[in-house]
Formats: sequence, C-alpha cells, structure tokens
Amino acid sequence: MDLNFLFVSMLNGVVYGAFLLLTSLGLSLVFGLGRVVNFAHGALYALGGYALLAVIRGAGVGYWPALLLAPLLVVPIAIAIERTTIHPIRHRSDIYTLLVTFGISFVIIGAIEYVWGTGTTLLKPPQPFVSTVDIFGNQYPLYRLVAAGVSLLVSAGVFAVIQLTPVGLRIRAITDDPGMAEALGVNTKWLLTLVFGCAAGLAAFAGALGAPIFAIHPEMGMSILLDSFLAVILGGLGNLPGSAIGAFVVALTKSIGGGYIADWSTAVLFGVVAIALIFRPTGVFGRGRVA
Amino acid sequence: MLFAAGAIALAALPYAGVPPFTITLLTEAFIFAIWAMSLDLLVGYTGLVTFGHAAAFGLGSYAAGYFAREVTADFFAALLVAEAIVVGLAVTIGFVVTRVSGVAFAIISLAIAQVLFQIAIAWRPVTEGMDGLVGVPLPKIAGFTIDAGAEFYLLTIATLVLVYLGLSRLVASSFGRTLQAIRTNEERAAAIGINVRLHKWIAFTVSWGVAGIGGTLMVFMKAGTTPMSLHWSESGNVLVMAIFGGVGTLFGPMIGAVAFVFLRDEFTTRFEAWQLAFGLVFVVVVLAFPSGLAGIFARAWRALWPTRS
Amino acid sequence: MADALVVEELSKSFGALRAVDGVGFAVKDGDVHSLIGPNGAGKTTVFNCISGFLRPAEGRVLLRGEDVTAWPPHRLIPAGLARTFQITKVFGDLTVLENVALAARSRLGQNLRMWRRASKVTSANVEALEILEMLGLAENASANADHLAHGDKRILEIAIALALRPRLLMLDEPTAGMSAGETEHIGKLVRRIAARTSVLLVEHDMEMVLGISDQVTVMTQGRVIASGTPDAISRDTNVQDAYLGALDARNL
Repeated sequence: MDLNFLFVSMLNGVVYGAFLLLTSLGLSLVFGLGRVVNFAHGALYALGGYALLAVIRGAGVGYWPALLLAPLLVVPIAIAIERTTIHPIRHRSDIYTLLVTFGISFVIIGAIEYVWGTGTTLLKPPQPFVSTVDIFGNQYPLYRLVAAGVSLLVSAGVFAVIQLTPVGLRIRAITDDPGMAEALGVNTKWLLTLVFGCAAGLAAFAGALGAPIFAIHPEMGMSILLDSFLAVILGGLGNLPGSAIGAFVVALTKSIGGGYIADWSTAVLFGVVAIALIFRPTGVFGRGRVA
Repeated sequence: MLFAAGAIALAALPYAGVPPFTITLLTEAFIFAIWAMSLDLLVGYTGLVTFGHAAAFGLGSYAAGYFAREVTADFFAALLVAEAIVVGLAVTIGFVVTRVSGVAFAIISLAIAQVLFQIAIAWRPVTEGMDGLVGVPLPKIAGFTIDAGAEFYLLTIATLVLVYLGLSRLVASSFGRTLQAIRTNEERAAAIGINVRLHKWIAFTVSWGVAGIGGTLMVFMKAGTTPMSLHWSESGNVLVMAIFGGVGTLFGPMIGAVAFVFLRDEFTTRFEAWQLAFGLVFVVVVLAFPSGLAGIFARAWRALWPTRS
Repeated sequence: MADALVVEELSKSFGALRAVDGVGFAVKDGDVHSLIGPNGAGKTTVFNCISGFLRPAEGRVLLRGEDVTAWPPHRLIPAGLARTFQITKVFGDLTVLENVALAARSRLGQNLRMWRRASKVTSANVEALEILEMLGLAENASANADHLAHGDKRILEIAIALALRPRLLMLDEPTAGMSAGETEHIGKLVRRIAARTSVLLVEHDMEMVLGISDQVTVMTQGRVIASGTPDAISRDTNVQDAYLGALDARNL
C-alpha cells in the first residue's frame, strides 16, 4: 500500500469529516437542549439533497442560489414536524421522541420515494469547480476541497453563534443544567423549535452541498445518520467540541480503514464505539450526557 | 380455552380451502409474531427499547441456515446450534450493554446490530457477502421432511403457541413482575434489593434466545437469508410491529406482527408509498395511542362490557 | 451489643459545595433516632450516603459493627438496612399488594423464579398482606398504587421498606406534604414500627420529631450541632438559635 493511497484516503476522510461535522453539530445541539434524539436527522439531510434537485431542475435556478434555497425549504418542514410531533410529547420519556422521529424518518424517506422515485441521481459539480487539482501528483476533485472548506466555515459559524451570542448562552446554560430551562421560562419551548429547525437546516445544507460528491438517493441519509450518532456518542451527547472531534475520528477511521480492510472497517468502528460507550457512558471526549 | 380454540382454528386453515398464498403470509406473520413477542419482553416488560433487535433474529437465521446446509437439515439440531450461538453472544453482549439504559441502550444496541450487519457483508467465506446465504434445505423432523406450505405452517403455529405459553408464564412469574418493577422505576427497584443489572441481563438473553427461534424458522421458510435481515430497518420493523400492537401485553405484538405483514402486502401491491403510509400510522400510534392496538381493543371491550372492571 | 448504626466523620462535596462535613452519630438498637435540620443542612445527603445511593468522600458507616461504607443497595438490604424516599416512588402500575410482595420476594430471594406464577407465591403475599393490615392499607390491596391518595402512598412506601424486614429502617421525610392529622397518624405508625426495628428518621416536622423520638441529632450547614434526647434538644440554646428560632418564626 503506497503513501499516495494513504494520502488520498486521508483527504477523503477529512472531506467526509467536514460533512459529518455539520450533521453531528445539529444532532448534538438538539439533544443537549431538549434531550431529543432526532432519528429523522438523516432523512432531513436527504431531503436537503432532493430540495436542491427540485430547485435546480424544477425552477431552473443555478447551483449556488439553489444551495442556499434548499435548506430554507427544509427548515419550515422541520419546524412543522417539531411543533406537531415532538413538542406534544416532550413531557414523556426521551425514548418516545426517539420512536416518533424514527417513524418520521420512515415518512420522509417514503415521501421522497413517492415523489422522486427510488433511483440514484448524480449531480455534476458546479462551475468553476468541475476540474481536478494536482496534490503531490494525485489528481483530486476540486469541488470536494471547496465543499469541505464551506462545511468547515459554516461549522465555525455555528460555534461562534453558540459561544458569542445571547441565544448561544441560553443554549449552553440549558445544556449544562436542564433545570435551567424552567428557570429561564416559557421561551425555552420555542427555543427548541428554533434550534431543531436550524439543525435540520444544517443537515439539509450538508445534503445539498454533498450532492455532487455523494450520490442522491432516498436512503442517503441513513449511513451519515449512523456515523453522526457514533461521532456524537464518542464526543458525549450534547458536547459540541466533543462531537466535532468525534466527527473526524469516525470519518478518518472509515475512509482510511476502508482502504485497507474494506467492509470490516465499519464493523470495527461500531465495535469500538460500543465498547467505548459502555465504559464511558458520558462520551470519550469529556463531559456529555447520554442516559 | 379461547386461545386453544383459536390455535386449533388457525391450524385448520390450510385444510379449509384457504389459498396457499395466504398461508405463506400467515406463516411469515407468525414467525414475526415470535420475534415481536421477544422484543416485548425487553421493551414492554423491562423498559429497554432496542433499535437492534434484528441482530438476534438475523444471527439465528445465519447460524441455523449455515448449519442446516453444511451439516444436517434436522430442525432441532439446527435450532440447537442457532440457540447456542445466539444465546452465547447475548450473554456476552448483554453483560456489557445492560450497564446503560434509555437512549444510550437504544443506540448501543443499534451499533451492535450494525456490527453484525457489516460482518455479514464482509465475512464472505461463510456469509457469502451481499448475495447472502442461499440453498438452505427444507427442515427435517425425525427424518421426515417438513414440506413448505401447510406442514411448515403447522410447525410455525406449534412453535408460536409454545413460545407464547412460555413467555406468558415468564412474565407472570416473580421474575416477570420484578422486570415490570424495574421498568416502572429502576432506582426504586434497586432500593428494595433487586439486582437490576442481573435481571436486565437475563431478560436480554431470553429475548435474544426467543428471537433466535424466529430467525431459525425464517431461514427455513425462505430457504436462505441476506445481510438485509440484520439491517437497521428490520430492527425498526419489529419495533413497529410491537408498538403498533401494544407493548407489555405479549398478545399485542402478536397482533401487530400479523397486521404488519398483511398491511404491508396490501400497501405494496396497491400503493407504492407503503413506507410513507406505515410511517404515518406509526407516528400517530406513538403520539395518540401509546398502548397500541391491544390498548384500543381493551378500551373497546370495556366500553362494550362495562360491568367487568 | 453493637449500635444499630454508627456514622463516623462522614463527608461529601458537590463541586465546591461541602454538603456534609465530618458528620457522626450513633443509632442505638431499638431507638427511634431523628435527624433534623433546616433545608440544605445536608440531611438527605447523609441519608443517601448511608443507604448506598451516594458514595461518601470520607468517613465510615457501620451497621451493627460491620463496615458497610459505599455498599450498593442490593448488598445493604440483606445486611438489614431499608429506606423510603422523600419523593414518593411506589411502583405506580402495579397493585398495592404487589408493591409490597415484590419487596418480600426480593428479601426471600425469589426474584429469579421464572416459572411459578407470582400471584401463587403465597409466603410473600401473606407477608405483604400482614404488613398492609398493620399499616391500615389492607382494604386497598388490589388497587393500583397510582390510584392511592398521597398520604396512603407515603404509607405504602413504608410498607415496601418493612417487607424487607430491616433491622434499621430509614425514613426520608415521611410526612412531607401531609396534613396535621395525617402527620399524627404517621407518628403513631412509626412508634408501632419501632417495636420491630430501629428507625432513623429524617424530618422537618419538629413537633412530631420531639414527640416520638428517643434520640435527636441536629444538623446545620453540613455539620452536627447537637445530639441528645428530645428534652435536651429542645432546651439546647445552640439549636434554638440555629434552627428552632428560624423555624418558629416561619411557622408564626
């Protein structure tokens, strides 16, 4: 196995890690704030990809405006979902929200298949990033690097909002101490709706941004959902910096391992995470909350 | 009594002019019923929601199918081998996963099922990868081949009845009541001296063992299996059956499994978006009828016969 | 003969807060011993450290001379210690009888029996019914525990603990949220229970504590400030300053 192969595998891992970062952050935020484990997160990611497709093909919009439009279409859907299905059962145990969002992912994937069929669509990278670049003698698709850069920028933006704004302060306060929710009053209920909507928007954005890299198909969200779960569990549910590290650990393990032991890499990864979680139920990278 | 009469009536169906296609559907439904009841022991009685129950069922299928094809098609021998493997793994896995509960348990169980799914794909010499295990022979009992169709249907019903009786006995026993106490309030259960982890561990192992019986029947019915039997969506399906039927009742998940198989058949032949419809039904059930079909029946029954409280 | 319970130099912190700081006292065999103090004095933390729900940072807990520090509940119960909870935690969707029978079966080691129907395990059920009769809950035996009135749930808590046949019964504020009449009733029950087992009572209700206790230990801010008979405690000026005064002022 030569060094070039290892290098390209690592590069792929970083690119995938940047996407995983976007989805994991949303998953982690929603859990930290409302103790809601959103199983439909992957389906919302897929919906982002299809929204992009619809806007480009249906409305004839260019790729870049469509990339901004697609998540904006998904956010209201996500808010409607939160208000009608998650909000009414928040007083029940968190297992119920997990079950309901599981059902919702069935509904969303089913709806996608009904509207767009079960086929796979490949989207060409937008101008001017169709070409490849030469990195140490490897021809690497330019769009992957651009998309990874955009993902990282957006993620940094999310971190900035959480760390620097008053809303971010409230979110951190409630995540650290769920009892704070009551002390801060009624608005927290809408805060979860808002954060749920934004998290779905991030997932949809990732789905749209990734469309030219990973193919669009109805179940495209499932593997990234499982990987995001792993990342978030490794980092400690509700712990954002932990989730970020987790995202890259998962992505790099998958892509580098995948190059050498093929399908076994995912098995090994899941096994490692299961064992890690058993011995540190609050996450490997610091303080988070799982059970 | 009612149950015995029902079982006999069901057993008579193939000889009462019911078409073979319906018998096949019923066979599948009753195998799923065994699986759904095994899940009920975890979800409904112990309060452990799992998103990885396909692991136990699929593993049972692979173990029994491989053994039947390579060694002998004897039903009981294959069942024994499958159980040894499923229960052996459940004891090991259960020892660690029962350290956690709630959401963490749900997701770890999903991760474990995913490991088995990936192994089924990757371990080609044994599992034949994505193609799956094919060419599993018809089962034999005491040297006689059990034909697909009516005979296999009878074998399934007999197994279902035994599993149902065994599990209802188990949940009514001291052990079963203790599980319910753990589900209701884990901390309080610990405070009266119950070893919560030990009980969860045993419940987990029994649940996997029963699911393995279902998996064994299924591999003989389908003459093979694929990694899809370990896929997360299968774990989802069995959860749908159990919750749709009503957990904590054993009977509910059985009805849920039958309803699932027949509804899926209806939807897929007439309506292409069955997944959409089923998802909607599931969401509505979880939101509005957490006690499932069994709960709705019980309420209707009480409304009809208000004297019995 | 060894004391029913000895607590030595017990300490526990939560972050920067030293909730319990070098607490020590002894419960004599057959006594009703009360642990009192204003809110936040650390009583419940002491209680949780003794009953195995928290691990003390320092100190020892001796049950009849045996060191049981940081034992988990399922080991403490066979050793003879049972507790109730401040927030009622009965098994809501099981019957009242089943709630108590569960505890009895747990003590008898019948939890893992998987075949005989629980309703036919007579020894545990008979015992449970006896306890319910003693506490005046027998007529509700077949009702769902959820359907009991608040006061009766608190009594059911005690019944569950009694079914474990403890040699030391720990009651965590059994009269919380009760009317004066109910409080008096509980007080009488505690005296009756004391004929069977030593009792460690954590309480708010001063009047009741002074009326039924053999010994009283007073805590404020994580420390013991006085220990003695109810008479001695009600005359103790430290206690009057730190606690009784504040409480009287609030009651008036």
